[in-house]
Amino acid sequence: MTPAAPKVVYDCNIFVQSLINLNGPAARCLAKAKDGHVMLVASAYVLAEVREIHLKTPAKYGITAEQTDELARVIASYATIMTDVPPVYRHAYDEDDSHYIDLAVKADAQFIVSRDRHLLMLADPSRKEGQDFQARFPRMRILDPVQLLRELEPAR
Amino acid sequence: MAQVLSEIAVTLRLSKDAEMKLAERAAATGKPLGEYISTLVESVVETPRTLAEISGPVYQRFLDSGTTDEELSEELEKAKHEMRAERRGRQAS
Repeated sequence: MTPAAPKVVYDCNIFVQSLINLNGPAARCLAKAKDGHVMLVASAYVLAEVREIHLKTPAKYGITAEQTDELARVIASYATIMTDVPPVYRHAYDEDDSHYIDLAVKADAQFIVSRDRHLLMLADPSRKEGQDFQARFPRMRILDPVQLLRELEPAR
Repeated sequence: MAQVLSEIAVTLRLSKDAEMKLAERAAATGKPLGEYISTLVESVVETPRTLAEISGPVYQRFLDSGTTDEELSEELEKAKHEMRAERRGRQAS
């Protein structure tokens, strides 16, 4: 782990997307966590979402419970698993996204990485939700995987 | 040669929900609870498999489908929201 590795929280879909597209931005974000370029933080809630999503993923990929179970175990092997994450934030549009904010607050994470439009709207300064969120959590940023990779791999 | 197994007595402290899910997963595999938990512990202490190993044929299926990474994101967001809606339904009942 590099000394300045930022703490990150990944949406469950970042992990699942890594499993399906091994060469996409999500997989590169996961590799950054595995290699210690970021310090990945997760929770039982996040791992449960990783385990359960195979029930709803498109059948064309043929993802099984065994694969998402193993994926969750691999994540747990290099993530810091936070327990007792208190609710501090309630997302106005999607309450189920609130835990990701709560987890980032508990861990003092710098980045939440997601492709979820409800989470990404909190990063939009032109929206009231975005302004409120940034006023409340000024040190926290919500990025999509490509934006995180740009942060970690600035143009040379 | 048969593998030598050690017996370790431990006490697990789990939420009721986790206890129930654990029992369901053990039942689904047809293994007694203790044997299933031993399997889980063994898998945790083993060297984790790589993402490519876990993915197996899934990545090739993705390539064959012609789906873009952006489209995959949309599919997974839809899947996540369906999963959460179903979970809320279970919790409400």
